Amino acid sequence: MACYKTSFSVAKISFSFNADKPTHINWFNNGYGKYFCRIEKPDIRVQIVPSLNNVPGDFVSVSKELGLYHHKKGLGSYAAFHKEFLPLGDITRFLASRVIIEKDGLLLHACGIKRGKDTFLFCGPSGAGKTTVAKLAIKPWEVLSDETVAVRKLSDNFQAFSTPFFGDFGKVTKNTGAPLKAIFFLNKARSFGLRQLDLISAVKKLAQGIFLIGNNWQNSMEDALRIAESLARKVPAYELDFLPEVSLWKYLEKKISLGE
Amino acid sequence: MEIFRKKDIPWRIIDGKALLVNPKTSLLYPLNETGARIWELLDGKIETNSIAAVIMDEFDVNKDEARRDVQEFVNSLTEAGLAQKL
Repeated sequence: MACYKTSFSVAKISFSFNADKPTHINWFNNGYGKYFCRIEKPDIRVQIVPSLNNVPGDFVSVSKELGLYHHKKGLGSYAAFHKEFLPLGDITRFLASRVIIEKDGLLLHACGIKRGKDTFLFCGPSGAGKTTVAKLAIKPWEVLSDETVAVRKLSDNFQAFSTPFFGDFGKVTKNTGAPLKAIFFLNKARSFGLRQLDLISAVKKLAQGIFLIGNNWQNSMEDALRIAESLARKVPAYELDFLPEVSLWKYLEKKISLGE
Repeated sequence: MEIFRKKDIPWRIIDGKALLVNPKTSLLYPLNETGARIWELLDGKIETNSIAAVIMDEFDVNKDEARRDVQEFVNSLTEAGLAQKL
């Protein structure tokens, strides 16, 4: 049987996808082209299995060849983590959300912005202003994603990375990351304001933004809380009252010491 | 009365306080130091009156206050689906 392959890397975690039809692999290559990498030994290998007849459209089932997620049922393998079959985009998001926790990181519902050698997170639920912040970004501020950012502890420091997952702002053109300097939780307001959060408030707010997808997500939640605590101890977290104006960047430059 | 924390509740003690997650509702519950200590003790092996004795010993409260606070707190936990009676 023919075997089609592709591999990509998000937050320095490599995924390889194998399928017996080119359609699925083309989908990855079109959607995640900037994240493509050539790698001999990926961190995660995923075998895409065509959907059973009763599943409509582009849906496929997936099994991880090695390790935790593999689960067989009936005729084929399917995602152990979900009762439903998942579209490809959700599979990658799911895998990234779970695997990153094993790699001392989190997939966060946040807008990520890079400035020189530093990155910043702007967090909040839908409607809080993440895409607004991304749209306000002007040089030297550069968008990692307006919706989903990967954060990992590497060499005892947290770094934030772009992801192929995005909201209304659209696709980001670079696969990049840098040390995380500050975390902001967004409040739309009539004037700018900044208040540093205490540890437990910061962990709570981070926990509200952790992507953990699938039925048994709570199994990974305690590890996610441990990582969120470690993140909140390393990186200052603030509540940010903001106006949708480019003066946001001047305000932050004034309030936070920024390395050039 | 013996109460125990539900097994499927992810939780973490952070600087003596605690953060609990209800997996059914995805709601997060931060607990203060007293709440976190009670939560730790809710293993189903200790009765609420004995938990009150520990709280009286470790925090600055009298016996009646401790008993009332522990009872009210475990009732809230049970109502929130985080703990249950044996």
